[in-house]
Amino acid sequence: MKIQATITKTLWIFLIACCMMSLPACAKNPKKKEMKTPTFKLDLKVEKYQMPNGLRVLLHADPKAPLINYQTWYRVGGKDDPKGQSGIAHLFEHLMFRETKKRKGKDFLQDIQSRGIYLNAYTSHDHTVYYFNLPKKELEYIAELEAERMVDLVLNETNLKLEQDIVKEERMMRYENSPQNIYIDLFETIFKTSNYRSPVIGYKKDINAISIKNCLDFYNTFYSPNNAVLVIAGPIHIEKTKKILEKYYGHLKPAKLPDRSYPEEVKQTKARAKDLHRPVQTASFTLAYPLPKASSKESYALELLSFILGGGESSRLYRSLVEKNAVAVSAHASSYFLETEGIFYISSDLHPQKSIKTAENLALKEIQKIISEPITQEELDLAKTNIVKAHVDSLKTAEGKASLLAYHETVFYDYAHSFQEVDRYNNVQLADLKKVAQVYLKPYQQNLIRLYPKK
Amino acid sequence: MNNLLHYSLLAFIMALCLNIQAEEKPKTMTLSNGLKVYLLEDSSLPYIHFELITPLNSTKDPKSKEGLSSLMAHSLVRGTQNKSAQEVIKELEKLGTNLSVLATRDYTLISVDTLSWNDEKLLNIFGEIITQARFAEKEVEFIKKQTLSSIEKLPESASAFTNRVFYKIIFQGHPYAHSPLGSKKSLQSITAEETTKHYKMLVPRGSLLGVTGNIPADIRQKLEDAFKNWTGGVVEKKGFFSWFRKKPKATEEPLQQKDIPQYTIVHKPGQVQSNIRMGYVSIPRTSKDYMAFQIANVVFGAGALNSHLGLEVREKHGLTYHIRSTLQSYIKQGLFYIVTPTRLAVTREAIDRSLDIVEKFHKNGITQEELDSAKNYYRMQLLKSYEKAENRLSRRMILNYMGLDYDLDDLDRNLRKLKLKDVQKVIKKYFLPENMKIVIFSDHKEIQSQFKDIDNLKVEGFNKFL
Repeated sequence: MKIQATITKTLWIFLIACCMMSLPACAKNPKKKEMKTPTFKLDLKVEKYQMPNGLRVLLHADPKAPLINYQTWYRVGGKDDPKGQSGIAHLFEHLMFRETKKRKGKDFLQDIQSRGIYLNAYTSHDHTVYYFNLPKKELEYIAELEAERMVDLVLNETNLKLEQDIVKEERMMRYENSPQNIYIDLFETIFKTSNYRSPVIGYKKDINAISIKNCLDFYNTFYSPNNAVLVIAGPIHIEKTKKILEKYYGHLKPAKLPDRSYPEEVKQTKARAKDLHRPVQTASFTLAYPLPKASSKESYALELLSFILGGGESSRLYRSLVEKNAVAVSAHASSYFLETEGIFYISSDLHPQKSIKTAENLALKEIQKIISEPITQEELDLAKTNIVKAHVDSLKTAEGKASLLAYHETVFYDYAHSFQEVDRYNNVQLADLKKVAQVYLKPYQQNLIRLYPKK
Repeated sequence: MNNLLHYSLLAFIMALCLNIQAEEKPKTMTLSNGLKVYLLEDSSLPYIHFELITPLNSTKDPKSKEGLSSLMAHSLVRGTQNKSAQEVIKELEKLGTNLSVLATRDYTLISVDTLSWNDEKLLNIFGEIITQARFAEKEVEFIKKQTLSSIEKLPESASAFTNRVFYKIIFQGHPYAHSPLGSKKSLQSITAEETTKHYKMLVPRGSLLGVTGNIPADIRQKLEDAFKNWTGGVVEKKGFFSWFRKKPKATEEPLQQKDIPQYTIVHKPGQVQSNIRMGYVSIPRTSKDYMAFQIANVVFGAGALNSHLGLEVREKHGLTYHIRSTLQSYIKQGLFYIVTPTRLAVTREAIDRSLDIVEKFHKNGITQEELDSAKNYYRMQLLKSYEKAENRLSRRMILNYMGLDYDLDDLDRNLRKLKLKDVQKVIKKYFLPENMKIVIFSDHKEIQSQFKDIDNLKVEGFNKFL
């Protein structure tokens, strides 16, 4: 990094601009005297536009942030893996760090690090996300790199073979050598026809079988400006940033995107159970129910319901399994929403020598109670407060803000959808909780995974 | 005066160019009970965060009662003189509070937070937890049982378990050896009465309290009220001669590690990967070489995929998904080690390649280009870790607690001052391949053929480390 040590006219203008940018606060902090029931209203200033090639761009200037956060969300994830190529979306995420037409493997990473840039990526069932934390003077460098990776990636046998080995190591670390991780079994049990059935990391035989041709097809199909959302948050100058983006992304051509309809999950009519025996130290179980997709209106009530059931140490499940009956170390419930499906799940780790059957029955009893007996206003208020608080916590960094905006823009095609999140939770009533409990937690919708220590 | 103005302006501009904004200084005050308080205002979001750092730590656990400090700290929320455990927990959750209790080898950190309009309610309950904890036998037994089960489950998380084993082996004979959680045996011997006695060591003098977020104007009075019943601790003598008084010094001398086998394989049947740790006891946080060591380590193994280790073991040979090296520095000593999981068949290859890198690194050092690159990377990491106001204050308090009066600007200044020769010197002094002790958590039967040529190797059952 070169240090500018002379004061120029341009620099003065820059300094004044910095001060001006630091004036507005990004969130409204309610004054206690003005409001009876205080709450939080998010209102970030965002510049949104779409390039003629289809790239959707969100810019949020946050002059107080120390670094720029730069995220590219591609609308492709594990659910888009073609049959027999499970894991290709994730493998591809690895390949994106290898080589472009202009940058060779080793230089690629060295150059990024030498500029003080942190990079990483992740693949979910629905999206692949690449993100960088960078000093503001490196914005143009990253824009150039990201535009280049979108269309000019170099794929070859050597890189593919190497990344296949690394992904298999990752798989081993996360699953085979983590016997307590039942995520793959859970998704295979709950999803029979949906694409969510396959693990994002892929099956080993599929990972081995992926060819360069498969990768090229995948790249040409999904990596294009009209399949991406770009979010930049931090100490940026909006107009200058727009010019930079136009320079590097403006000329990219959109691709013809495939039909994005997915097989619907068949309605579950019978309870399912799977017993696993693995080298774990103590037993555990997970109980899951299918839910509607992320954009469902019921998702807010379902999230609050799961908090009441197992969101904290005062929750119903914790009090029953951990405190009162002392069969478990933990008891947790959560709602997990995907683009086209969802899952309500309860998980509990047992104390040594405690019976899964006992713990399972206690959990089922709590589910029955939440369906048939009243939920109190106090429980609902507690859940709402905790969810609002988590929302506030997620906004403390430029990365947190960028992630929130990107998620809502990618899933709901509207970043401003995130601004009403708190209101949507606050509008949920006790009757809504009762209704979703009765609809989604029926005994025949159960998917139970029991994990026993292998003898 | 003109010069002073000129330099101040220049420093400001340089900070902007480096993207480091001058860090706002926290206000400090001392309550009448001796508790030192740091205040950092952040009104960007409606929250308030309290963090208490106390000198209680796992080195103060009596012999055969390892885990006592942690047990005591986790039992604090299990009821006060006026409220049951359930009432305390519910009260905290009604405020949306994240309660975090972290007992470490140097200090115990307890933090709580809430939405800013609940500040008073949170402060009242937080004060009650700290000053009026009850330690009823039933509640201490509850935390004991929870901790025992967590220890039992640890081998399922291969990485966390290997760390536990590595500390135990490398810090052999030192108070840092045992995990702050304790062991199954030591925990079982701890009584509620001992926990209550240990609680008496939790005192305001010597503890630090940080407040971040929307801080009310009358915070001093609120804090005085919340902690009014809390007393104790050694009064620091002030006066002209206090400056000359000798402060306790950290030991930079390496521990005698002669009796530690070069290789230890911790056997657990059915492991499908080998979890490897390679390293040795190193410098404490207060060492003058700390910054140079960290920078050297960015080039060596901490700098993500691009480090010497990452490029050789992962990028070139595909032996692992994850490899890094860490310098974990405490008040009295530090620990430098390489972390990697790898498939069973290439366990030895991953170790040998890593050792080879240490040797080359010791011999060749780094280039000016690598130094510049590492400085930029480290600066970015610093900025990122200081982004949240509560983290900024926490880091400052921890450094102050360790006897270092640094803020982000000081760290950046030290970083800029660092020369290639300083880093090369540190590499020669501290990157020592011959000191490497290797711990492998794996299925011994599956990997033993790879270590036939090693004499100085010990095999242990994993149960010994629970």
